[in-house]
Amino acid sequence: MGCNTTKKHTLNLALWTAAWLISTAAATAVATAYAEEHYGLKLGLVIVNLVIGGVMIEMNRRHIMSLDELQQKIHLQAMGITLGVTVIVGLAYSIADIGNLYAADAEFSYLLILMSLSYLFSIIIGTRRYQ
Amino acid sequence: MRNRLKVLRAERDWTQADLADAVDVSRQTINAIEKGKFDPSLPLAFKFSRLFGLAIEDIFFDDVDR
Repeated sequence: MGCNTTKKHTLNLALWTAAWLISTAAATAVATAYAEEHYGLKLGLVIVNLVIGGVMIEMNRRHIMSLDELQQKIHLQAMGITLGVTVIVGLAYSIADIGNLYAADAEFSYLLILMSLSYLFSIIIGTRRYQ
Repeated sequence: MRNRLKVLRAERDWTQADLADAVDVSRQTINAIEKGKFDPSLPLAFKFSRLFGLAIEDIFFDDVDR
């Protein structure tokens, strides 16, 4: 696929990722503010969040398919590293939480941050490796 | 695997970006192939072959062949 096609798919992915983040923030805010009421609104926001998330996944798939073979290889390696890091660190984090090795409760959001940073640095290192 | 892409490109006075556009990949990919850091797939090798009017083995060769 051409450079323009890749740019179009990258922009689509960015827009749908932004939409998913906004819908996640909205669903979280309403669920936090109205813990015992507005059942329909909360359910609706969760469904919207899931639908937008599904579209975002498809946009990500299209984005990956629009990349050339070297870029796909870099992303594949980054995904493999991220999966490994998340499973290994996530399990160690869970075990540490069970054993009360640290004061705070385990937070899923920390794993998301770890995944994001792992993927980002893997892409940067992979890109530099082939320069 | 080594290749003659840089020489073939220079003979035609093409930039890496020109060659990248011609075979529909990124300039980074052309750079990585020229430096021998990345081996192209067979479909991409055929694109180079058609573009330069040469057989694949006249563009790409294994180190042990030389």
